[in-house]
Amino acid sequence: MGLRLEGVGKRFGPVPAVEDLSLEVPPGAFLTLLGPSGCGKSTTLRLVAGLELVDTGRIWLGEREITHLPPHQRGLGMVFQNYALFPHMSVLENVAYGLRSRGLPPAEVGLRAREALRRVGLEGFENRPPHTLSGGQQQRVALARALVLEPPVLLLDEPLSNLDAQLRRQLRVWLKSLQGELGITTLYVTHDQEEALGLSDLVAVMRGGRLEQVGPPEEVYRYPRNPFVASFMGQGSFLEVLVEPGAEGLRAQLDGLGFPVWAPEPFTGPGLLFLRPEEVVLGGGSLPGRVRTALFLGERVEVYLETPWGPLLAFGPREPRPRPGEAVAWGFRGGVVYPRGAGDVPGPA
Amino acid sequence: MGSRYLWPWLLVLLGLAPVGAQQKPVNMLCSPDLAWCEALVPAFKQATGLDLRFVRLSSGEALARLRAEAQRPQFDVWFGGTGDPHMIAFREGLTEFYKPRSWNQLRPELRAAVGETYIPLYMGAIGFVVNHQVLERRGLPEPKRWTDLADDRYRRLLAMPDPNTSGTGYTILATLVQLYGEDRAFQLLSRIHRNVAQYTRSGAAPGQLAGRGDVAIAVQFAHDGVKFALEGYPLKVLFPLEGTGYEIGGLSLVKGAPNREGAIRFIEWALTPEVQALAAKVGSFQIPSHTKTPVPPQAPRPANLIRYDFNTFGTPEVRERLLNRFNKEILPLPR
Amino acid sequence: MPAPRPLGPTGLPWPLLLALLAWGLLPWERGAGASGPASGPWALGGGLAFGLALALALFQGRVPPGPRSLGRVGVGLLQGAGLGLFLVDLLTAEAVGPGQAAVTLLALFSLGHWLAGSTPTRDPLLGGLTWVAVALVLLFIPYPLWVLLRTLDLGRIPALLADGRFLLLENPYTPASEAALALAVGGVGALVGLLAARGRRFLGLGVGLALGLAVGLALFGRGALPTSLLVAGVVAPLATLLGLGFALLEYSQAPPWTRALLRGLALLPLISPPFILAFALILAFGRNGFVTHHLLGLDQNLLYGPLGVILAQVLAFTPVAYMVIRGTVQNLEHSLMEAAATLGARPWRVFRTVTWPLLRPGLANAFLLTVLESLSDFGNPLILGGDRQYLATEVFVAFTGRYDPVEASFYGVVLLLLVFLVFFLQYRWLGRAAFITATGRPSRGGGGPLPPGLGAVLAGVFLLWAVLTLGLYGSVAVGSLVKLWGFDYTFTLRHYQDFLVLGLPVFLNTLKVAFYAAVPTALLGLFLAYVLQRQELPGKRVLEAMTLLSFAMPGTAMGVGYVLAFNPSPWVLTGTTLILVLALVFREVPVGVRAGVAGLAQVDRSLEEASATLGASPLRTLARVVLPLLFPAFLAGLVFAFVRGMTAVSQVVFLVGPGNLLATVLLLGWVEQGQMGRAAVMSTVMVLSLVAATLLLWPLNRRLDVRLGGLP
Repeated sequence: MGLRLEGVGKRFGPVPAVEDLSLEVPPGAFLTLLGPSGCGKSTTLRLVAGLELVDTGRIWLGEREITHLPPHQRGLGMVFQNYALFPHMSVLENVAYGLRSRGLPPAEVGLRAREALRRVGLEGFENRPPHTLSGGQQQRVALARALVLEPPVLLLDEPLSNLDAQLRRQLRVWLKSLQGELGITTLYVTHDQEEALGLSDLVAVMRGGRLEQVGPPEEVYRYPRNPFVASFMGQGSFLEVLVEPGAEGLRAQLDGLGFPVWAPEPFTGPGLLFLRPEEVVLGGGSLPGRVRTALFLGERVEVYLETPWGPLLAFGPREPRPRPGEAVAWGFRGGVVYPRGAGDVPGPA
Repeated sequence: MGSRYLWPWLLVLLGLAPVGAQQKPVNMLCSPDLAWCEALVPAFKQATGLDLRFVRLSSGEALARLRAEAQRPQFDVWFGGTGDPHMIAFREGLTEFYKPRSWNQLRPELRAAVGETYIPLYMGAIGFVVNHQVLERRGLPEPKRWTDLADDRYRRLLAMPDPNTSGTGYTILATLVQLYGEDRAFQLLSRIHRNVAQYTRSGAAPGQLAGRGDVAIAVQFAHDGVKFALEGYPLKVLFPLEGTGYEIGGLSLVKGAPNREGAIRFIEWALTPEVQALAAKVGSFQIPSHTKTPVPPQAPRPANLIRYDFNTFGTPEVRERLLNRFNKEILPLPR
Repeated sequence: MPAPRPLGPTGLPWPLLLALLAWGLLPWERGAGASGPASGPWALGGGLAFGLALALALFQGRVPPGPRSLGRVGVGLLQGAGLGLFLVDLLTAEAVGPGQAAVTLLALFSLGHWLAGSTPTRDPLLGGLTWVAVALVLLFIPYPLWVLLRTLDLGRIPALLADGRFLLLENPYTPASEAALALAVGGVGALVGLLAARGRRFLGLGVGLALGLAVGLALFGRGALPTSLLVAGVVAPLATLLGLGFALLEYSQAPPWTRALLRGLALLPLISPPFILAFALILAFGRNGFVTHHLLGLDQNLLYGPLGVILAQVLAFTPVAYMVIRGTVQNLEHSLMEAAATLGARPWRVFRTVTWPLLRPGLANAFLLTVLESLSDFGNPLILGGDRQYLATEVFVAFTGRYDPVEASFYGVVLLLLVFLVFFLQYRWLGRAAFITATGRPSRGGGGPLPPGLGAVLAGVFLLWAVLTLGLYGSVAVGSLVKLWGFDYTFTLRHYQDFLVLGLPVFLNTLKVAFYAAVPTALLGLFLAYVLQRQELPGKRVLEAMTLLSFAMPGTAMGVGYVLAFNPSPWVLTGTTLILVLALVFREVPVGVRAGVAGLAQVDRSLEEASATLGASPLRTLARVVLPLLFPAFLAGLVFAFVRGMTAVSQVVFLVGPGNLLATVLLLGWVEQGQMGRAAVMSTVMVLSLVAATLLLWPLNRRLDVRLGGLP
């Protein structure tokens, strides 16, 4: 079942947490709300869950409006950052809790709860108290507890952020495949862009309570609509350039040469050129630059360059490692330009 | 599933169980010694089958309670305690006079003294309750007269009830006024005051203090002193030679009593000689009001009683004036 | 604009209408002096009908359709009817029009139910309960206080102020001029204030003058105000100092047995009726006291008067100060002292420059609390006060002895004003947070070793105190077994035999009343804590302040307020067991709230949210998630409310009636009447049973002592 938000707004006192937010999660899709802390992504999720009530706007679940329903009547599944497992109940009782709330016969409750635990790979843990489980296991219990009710929509509030990096990676894979298997509409909140890119069918980037861009991860990554989205999703550098019209679209002027670039809204004049490090080719062009420092990060080497247009990040060869002070010629394959002075120029990425 | 719905029924059963079969109890304000009050309960139950419940309050407190509850009395009957509050209660319309069947068998002098205001229950006189050990230890003589109490050698060895809070205390005050005239009485009191270690809240407390040796001389009702002495305290009861005042303990029917019928049954029962004789058995040695009740041998008999004017000193105006004077002229004096 | 979708049973408030109808149909008592409150078949019938209607309303629309739903509605109906009947029966106790009360409360419930039902955030049932709780709090906390204030006849205040029982400064019968002396002390205070307060001289002058005058008044004046001030002014610093010493001792490297002894002994005065120590002091230090007379051969009578009261109060309230300061000492970061030491400071310097400043807020808190305790103490001055007056006892004496409600309310209001002044000072100096610092998480704090000299002195003082306390309680126990204390020390069980007949029924009644009071106290406390912490409610702060109000009110003032408020119609409650229970419940409900708040702090909000997203209604969430997790807090509140109910005196002494005498009141009477043997038995039985009750639940209540600590 799909989920739709129409012009949703919420204030806490004088502070707007979410402003005029409209969003649609198609049936079966995995949509991630991404943004820095305080951007309103968690509030949005809580509004959908009914844990907060909207001030303005409406929320639809399929054809049903749920704007004013209390949380327990919405029938959505939710998983919390801190797992929120009931400490006074066993693992099985936790999973069975929602089924019992629905007044199902005990036999069916037991059957379905065990089945849900099996699905998340926690057979044999039924009678353990939750706090004796590892963080990853606890989060799987929380997921089982939400999924056992077969909710039309699953809401996940930074479910992996309390886990260590290794486990987070494993669970990410597992979560993605499970979601695919079940085909359940999912709304996922995170501030981790890697997580967002890896898991989602759709990514929605938020800032200051507003939606900045929604789209498939590749699209958002490659064609960020503004410098904020560009800088928040992955790495990259902004160079100050002049943009002029070319034969097939826009061109950025660097060192007297015109490079084809893409802009969300075509313009000419002073602009910011956003370059992803993987698009920069070291030694593969004629643009001047000088190495400031180089960091060896295992599978790659990050090279920080000084250029006439500003600092630039690129991936360099492992051997020979670029040395600080060394002059390097460089080029790039593609970039995005934004008009300069639009007010939302980010700091150095 | 079924058991979950049983609990309200259980509660209902629990809640309803004590109601019903019971008869309405008689509620008594009881002002004499606690043991007397306590002894009445089983005896009354045995005699009538009715439950008797009581709260023990000194007569002043009992009057206060009756006044507070004037709109909706909780008590049916007021048993014992100094006469003045009983009289005031009658004058204020808090109690009503009920003439018991045994009225004519009550001691005529008591009947005459109170008129038809309340029923006389017993008579008791003010005396000196003296701890002879404390006096001997200090080589002091026993006090013989009211004026002896002003003797400097008894400094801080005296206790008497506060007339503000105790009927006994007021009886003492009124006695002195009747013996010496108001001004001389207050002069005497101001000298006695220097010897007083403590004005107690309740009328029987000075005897306690004397019994424990906290003071040497307690001024209070003599019969209470006898009781303490019999309990084992080194006490002796004396009467002042000038004469002494006394109380006529009262029994009153509360006006608007919730259980008037029970109260009347109680009054009739309480005035019978057998019941009056109960008092001596539990250590209350007043002189009972019924002529047929044997006077207990331990009962202290004062040689010289004053002609206590209950009618004058029972009025609120006189009482108010004397208390005010006492509070203004005596209490602030340094000791 | 989307219209809020009405939830709950139905959009129409028909249960409410029905309730109002039933309420209006009741034969209300008209005029004064009627033979009794309206009860009888009408009221009963109304109550029952309403219970049925409510049950119907609750279950209509909630039960999913199906073959079994009819049965469940039926069961629900029966349940509602049963509850209605029970409520009615509960309230039938002699006085109150039972139907009136039941129906009024149910109507309120229904109103709240309906209102909450029309907004999606609140559960209708919770909403209904909230309304009932708020109504009860309003009726039983601010209302009696208001009546007390209203009774005060302004025209009589000048006369009462000038009354020697309240304040006698210039005694015409003494050569010295007390007023001049007091003024002189005030002047000295002003001078000291002026010199001490650099920078803010004006403030220093004012505070110094006020304090100096208070001291002068307390020293030279007579009457209730100066005496109470004098006692509080001596007791508070002493108790605070002792409390600090003991707390430091506990967390220093004292031998472990000291700690055990300290905790045990500190608890004893907290769980025994407050005036038992006064009683024991008479046994030990009176003119025929075991120590003073039999051991030392003294012949003195110094115990009756301020000295005795001070002694009793210091013994009784040192534990309170200790518990408060203990929390502060516990939270001392050990590393701070270590840091100071590594910076080269000697132990005394560490203590003076680091430990002491950190302790100061806790000390101020303890000081003010003991001032409060001392001011509102009733039992000790009544027994040991001699013929000096004290504010708290004067409330009682004025009311019961002189039956002067105006005077009683005057004393009550003076006491209340003093208490508010203390709270105000506390607020100004410490801020609100200081009230709730007792977190009770035992950590590795405590400040480390004491300077060697100090440790030894403290240990000595503590030993002395321990011997004294144990000796006093012991003398009570022994006193219950001898024929006549002070004269005849032969062994006897006679007092116990007497107790079986005379004391036991009262003791059992007290157990019953305390238990009746404890359960609603803990429940209401938890519920209010939940509402205050987790629900949106307009006027929440006011509600919180009101619960605190009952906590600040001196017991005697509250007792008089209750008598004045609930004796006249329509609230004819005096003399019933119900009013005792109510007085106890609303006196202790802040304790329940505090226990609930502390418990709720441990229950993460997300647990409730998780439950809601799993389809559980707020009520189910409350029942299945919140309450089970709050059970330890509930138990702590229960035990504490029970203990306080058993030991309460001042607020119930006005309220006992025929057939519902309480142990503390009887005990007070026995002590006053000199029935020392019986009094000793009653004291022993009470202390032992309370110790047993506390010990039994001790493992579940590790935090109890800390909560006790914050209470005046």
